[in-house]
Amino acid sequence: MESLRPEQRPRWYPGPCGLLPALVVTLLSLAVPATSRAAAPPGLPDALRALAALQPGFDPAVLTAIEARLGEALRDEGQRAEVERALVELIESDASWQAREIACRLLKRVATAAAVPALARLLGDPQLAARARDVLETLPDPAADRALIEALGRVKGRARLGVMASLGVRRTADAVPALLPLTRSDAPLEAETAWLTLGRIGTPEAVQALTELRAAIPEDRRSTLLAALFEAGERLLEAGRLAEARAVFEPLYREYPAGPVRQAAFQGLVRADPAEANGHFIRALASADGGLRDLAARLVAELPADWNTEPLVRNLPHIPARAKVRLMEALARRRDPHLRSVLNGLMRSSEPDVAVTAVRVLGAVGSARDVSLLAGAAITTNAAVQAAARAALREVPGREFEDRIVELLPRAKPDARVEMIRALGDRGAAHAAPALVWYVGATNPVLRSAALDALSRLGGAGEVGPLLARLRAAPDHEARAAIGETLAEICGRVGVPAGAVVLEAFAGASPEVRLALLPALSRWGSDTALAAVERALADPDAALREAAFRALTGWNSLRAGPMLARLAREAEHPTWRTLAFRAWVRQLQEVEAPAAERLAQLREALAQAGSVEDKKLVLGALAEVPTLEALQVVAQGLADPALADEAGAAAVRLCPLLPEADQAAGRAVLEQVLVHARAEGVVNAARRQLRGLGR
Amino acid sequence: MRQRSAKAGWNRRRFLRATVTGAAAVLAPPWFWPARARGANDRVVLGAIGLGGRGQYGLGAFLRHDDVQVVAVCDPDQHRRQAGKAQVDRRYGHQDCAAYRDLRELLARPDVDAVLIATGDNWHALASVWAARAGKDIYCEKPMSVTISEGWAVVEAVRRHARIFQCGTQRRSIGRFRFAAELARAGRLGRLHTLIAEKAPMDPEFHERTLPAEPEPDPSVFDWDLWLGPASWRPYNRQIPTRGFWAAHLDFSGGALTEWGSHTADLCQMAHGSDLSGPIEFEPHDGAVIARYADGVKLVFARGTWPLSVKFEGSEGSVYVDDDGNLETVPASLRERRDFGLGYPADDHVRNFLDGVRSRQQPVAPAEVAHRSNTVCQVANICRRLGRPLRWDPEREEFVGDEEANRLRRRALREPWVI
Repeated sequence: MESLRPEQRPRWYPGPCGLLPALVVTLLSLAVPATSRAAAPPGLPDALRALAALQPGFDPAVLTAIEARLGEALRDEGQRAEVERALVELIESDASWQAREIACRLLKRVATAAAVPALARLLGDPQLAARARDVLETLPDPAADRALIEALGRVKGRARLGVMASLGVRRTADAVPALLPLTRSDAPLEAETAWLTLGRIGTPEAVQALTELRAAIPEDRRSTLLAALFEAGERLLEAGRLAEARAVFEPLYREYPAGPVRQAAFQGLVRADPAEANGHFIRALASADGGLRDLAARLVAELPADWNTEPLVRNLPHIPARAKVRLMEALARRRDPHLRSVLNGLMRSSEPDVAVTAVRVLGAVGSARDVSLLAGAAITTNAAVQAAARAALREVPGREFEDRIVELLPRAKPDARVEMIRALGDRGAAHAAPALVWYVGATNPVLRSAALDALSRLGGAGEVGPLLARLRAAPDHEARAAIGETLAEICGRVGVPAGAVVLEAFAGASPEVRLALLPALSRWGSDTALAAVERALADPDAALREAAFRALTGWNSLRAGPMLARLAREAEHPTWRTLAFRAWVRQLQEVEAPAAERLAQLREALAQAGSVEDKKLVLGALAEVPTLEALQVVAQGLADPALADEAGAAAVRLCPLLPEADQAAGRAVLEQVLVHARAEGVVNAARRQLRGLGR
Repeated sequence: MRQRSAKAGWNRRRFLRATVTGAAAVLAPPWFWPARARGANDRVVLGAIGLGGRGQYGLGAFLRHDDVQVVAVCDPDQHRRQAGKAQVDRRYGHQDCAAYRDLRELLARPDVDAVLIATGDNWHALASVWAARAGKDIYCEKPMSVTISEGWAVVEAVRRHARIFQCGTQRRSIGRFRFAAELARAGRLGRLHTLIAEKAPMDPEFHERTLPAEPEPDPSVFDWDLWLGPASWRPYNRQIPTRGFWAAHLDFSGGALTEWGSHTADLCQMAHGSDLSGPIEFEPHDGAVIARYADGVKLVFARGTWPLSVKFEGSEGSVYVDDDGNLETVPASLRERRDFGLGYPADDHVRNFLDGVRSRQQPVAPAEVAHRSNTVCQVANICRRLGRPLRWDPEREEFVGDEEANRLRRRALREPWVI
């Protein structure tokens, strides 16, 4: 590259001494956000001078400042031409390659046809050719195409490869005649780049040249030619030239018996030949080429929604097992309306994967018509089919499916009836609950149990009365207890509407029935229920008293707390006292309630705790109350050597949960943990937290 | 039979779209069990390309699987390729692992089924395209490419040659990140309004420095020309191949935005349900970028600090999740599960890829999903470089009415490389 003569140099050219040091200060001062300056000076000549003066290892801050200034200039339409002109002059100057490559980079944003001659002159430059092409590739003016074609005959070696690549990126059809001789170059890389370029251009002339070459190229060099042909085929498809595209893909599909070339050709072929695509899919799915079968099935899943898949479905039973599986899955993903028609037969296939898949996909495409089919599959001896059928019974969408189950229940085989009832439970079909109560009285224990399980999940207040009737008529304690548990589940879910009915029944019930209803009162957890249980605690019947106590220990709210506290202090049996205390603390730990309420009762429990073990229990529960007050109660335990570790553990759990404002108090307690606790894990955890708090 | 012409409706992108929609529905219930294409006892024969820190980590993750047989490694740096070979030979107790300088030699081996690509970002796209053409399945580290156009070239090559592709965005395979995205997608945060993706804490966030020339090493020791690959020419300097230099240099990478954005923006895309699309507006804002999706949801690229994190905010709640294992929700009750692990290992992601190789089902981070996430970062980078708001059309993958910005979607590859 020649240096510019003095008279050629632009006005910002730095000259032999360079102005960089002085300009750095100027530019850096300019590199502040434009919004913070009033009436910023243009500064463009300074920036260009600094750019021209860049030398290897320059300070990146200088470049940032230059780019900021030039960026501003480029945002001003009036200055863009000036910037372009200056950058063109710079890339033609004898400035360092760094300066010129950065100029190219900036030129990319602004270049017009005016920049093309200068860029074209760089196409043979081993250091800057790619930078020049970077500008030309994205320059929308046809002058860039002409310059690249001209350079094809002028530059040699690697530079020519780059020029070809750029012509390919631009898809310059006019370059085809100049490229043709290069396709048979003795230099393999040059020939292969020419192939790829023709492929990118993808005109019929380019494709013809590539097709002719195919027979002449030895196998070990053919992969690049194939890549070029696939590119060309893609261009033809984009242009809507389907017949020509088919002529590219079909021979490759037929020539290669398997592997990625065949698969790529297959994809091109079905797109180039949509009228015959179903036939191609069917043949591919029936072929011995596993990779092709997988691909065909995947493509089927991707077909447009309005594609006619009926021919594919019709052929489904006649293709290999693995292809059947894949095609069923693909069609199911599309929620294909034709698929259902063949699934009944495929569910009975002797090929296990096919049968299981057929059942599974019926879950995706099935409807109310398929209840019997799926229920039948759910009671087969094949465990995989059974599991798939159960899943499908859960997954077929729609209320109609559930209504059909209910309708068919009375006529179903006993085993199938069980599966159908389970499905209703799994689906959360609450509207089916009334129909299930009848089966609570069934003699078949499996059926009875399935009905009770489903009612536990689905039943509402409306089922309580009928279930009470079943309970009163139940033949033994076990049957009553099972119904009682179902009522308990309903009361726990539904609350007052169910609980009130149970409570009313409890009042006038026989001792056997009352025993069975106590769990329901416990799960409901209301004050009125609690009063009823309290009365039961004083009942002359020992079994009822025992059951009432159990109900109390499992109470579903903190309302039972005072009663449990009293029993923990005053119960006649020591076992009851122990159990009552533990139940009380457990409820304080587990039941959802405001922190203040839990803390108040835990303070009482701590005061009432008679043993070290009981106190440890309370400290553990306090760790679940994320307040500073709870931490303060816990901290008191640190002074007691018997409780220090448990108190420390509780403090370590509480501190991270405290709000920011309480962190200082938390830190003080953690410091105390280090003093009093002995358990290594507790001490280490306290240390970690203190480090995190910037101790 | 009513069929569409290729031009009318069954065009390439639509065709591709359907593929990835099926493959990337990672949050949908997996009601299909993957079938196995290979015999259960067949090993996946693997070659590892790029053996820097991340490459060694990825190679280790593959070597832990008994159904993988690593047979070859490749790096232009002799020291690294020998270290990689030693790592493999130690695992198998032999000396059989081949070591290549040029990835084309490794890709030419017909016995290799799949490749791990853990080169510098500059090579990711070209290596992936070559691997796809060679019929290899691909696990490629993130970001998938350094330009938008190269990313799309990978998508097309993978698609065309029916390859399995997994991008190394392993947080897609980690429970707590998936859970957080699921909260957003399932509407449990209410109406989503803001997604916060952290940029890597790099200073500078990107640069275009040049360094003084130093004598080039012997190519058999360090092949500088190969290392540079498709990036523009520059003289050798020993600092350039160090991650500290190239990871922030725009000729070799996308700087802070792609370094972490390929994870964090990816997770935001997942949370927003935009795996195959992206925001439509980008605006520079206080050293960062704010993007907006068509539904008004904001994606904020925020300055990052360790550990890497994302946050999704909605009208009814928010979720924060990070690499240290923290998952915080507002309200706290949203966090149903307490068994999330720590860190961000790639083991499950590698397993997911291997399962895909066997079943021929695309894994959780397939090519177009990774390309879309990377594109969000690339567009944000262009927005920062131009210093002005931009409108982006995710369907056409072009800036709306902005010739200057559109030119920055691609780069010319240094000769002799052609993608």
